[in-house]
Amino acid sequence: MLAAAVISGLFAIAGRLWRANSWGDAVALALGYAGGHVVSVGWPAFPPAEATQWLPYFAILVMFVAVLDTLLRPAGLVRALVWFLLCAGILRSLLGSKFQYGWSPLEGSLWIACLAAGMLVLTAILDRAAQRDVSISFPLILAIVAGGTAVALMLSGSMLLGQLGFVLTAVFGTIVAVGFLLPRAVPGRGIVPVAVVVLSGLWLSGYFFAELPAASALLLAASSIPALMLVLSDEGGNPRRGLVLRATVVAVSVALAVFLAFRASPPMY
Amino acid sequence: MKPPKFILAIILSSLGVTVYADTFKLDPVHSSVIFSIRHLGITNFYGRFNDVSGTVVFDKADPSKSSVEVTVPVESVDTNNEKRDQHLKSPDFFNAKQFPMIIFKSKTVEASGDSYKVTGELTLHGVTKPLTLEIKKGAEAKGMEGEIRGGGETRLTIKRSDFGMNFMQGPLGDDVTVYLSMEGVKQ
Repeated sequence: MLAAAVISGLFAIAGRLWRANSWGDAVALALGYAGGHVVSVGWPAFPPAEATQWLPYFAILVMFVAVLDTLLRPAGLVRALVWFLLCAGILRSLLGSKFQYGWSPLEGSLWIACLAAGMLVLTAILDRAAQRDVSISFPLILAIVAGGTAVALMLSGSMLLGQLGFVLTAVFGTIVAVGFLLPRAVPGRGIVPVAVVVLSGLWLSGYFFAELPAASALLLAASSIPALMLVLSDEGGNPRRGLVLRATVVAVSVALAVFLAFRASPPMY
Repeated sequence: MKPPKFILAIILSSLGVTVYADTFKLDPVHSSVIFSIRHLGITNFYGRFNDVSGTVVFDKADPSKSSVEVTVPVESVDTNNEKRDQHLKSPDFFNAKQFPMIIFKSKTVEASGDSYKVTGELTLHGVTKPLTLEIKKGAEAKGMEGEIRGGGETRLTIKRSDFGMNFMQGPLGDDVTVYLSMEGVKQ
């Protein structure tokens, strides 16, 4: 976690000093997570065998996509289509073993299409909020979601997945801290695709390969949405009160997701 | 007039057809897969897999025509502690939902004194690595229903890190010793 915090901190500071507002945090998030992942569980094999081994590679791949996206600003429909296809490809790799041992091709294709659509919707909502929210509340919300994800994954019977969740939490926490210390710059929307891919990868690994209940995974996936809706409807309000309100809203749904994971968790020995 | 059997055998053998090979289907009730691993550097603890299946084709006359295929479902892991078994099946160790089977498939078999050197590939935790087993052949005998039974056993040591199982390195050793004892029914 320390490695993730140091790497993401350095890139987040550099991004702010160079005024790379639109994509500086995307680089900090992707490289911070990838670095933390490698230090925590070792270099992932290539080609990866396990679903989680894909995550650092996808974080870096999506970082480049996010940087290109913020620089080129393609039309909305093209952007949505490219993102949907990219998510489908990522999900096909993450859940490859389900095709081998569980799903028929049709069943698998339906799962991939539905999950990719879900990632697209989540990205669209987060992206819209990221454009409006120039405070630290946006990465703070993601930090709370990542923290809840880490605890829920640990309760789902996998300390390894929980550890990766805490790596992500450390990265978001560092971005919040840097945003707090250097408030003259704003978090960029580029953070959204990387955050969606890594968080989705962890939720899906927990649900499909550990014992994370479906309700917990769905609650974690949806937990940021009410808070971000507040961002969209709270322009011009008291910033501090708004920040507390958003953090509370997201913390309540994350706490519920963790409680459900706790109830379903396998007992420790 | 029918040709003598040995002439038929020579003809088939020259065509690459295995003539004298016997096929044994593994009997999970009398086959065992046991493993041991160092805990906290103190001593070994043992676990087993309660299910094993596979086929051994054994050609005594020409061992190179023999083959061994063994499949072990990860779900059958048993360490005499249900909670620990669940943890072993999680993504921290075997990741049973993602990689439900441990499979060994031989590529070559050669006689080596009293034993047979079986070289093949072991697929564990989604990683496939070459592996050579020194299988000591057991006896053949008739079972309770008159069926012919045969078998063999081997002991091998693998490094779990070679198969991407790196969690808790230190508290748990890297070397895993596996004892595989196979008894099969001749088909």
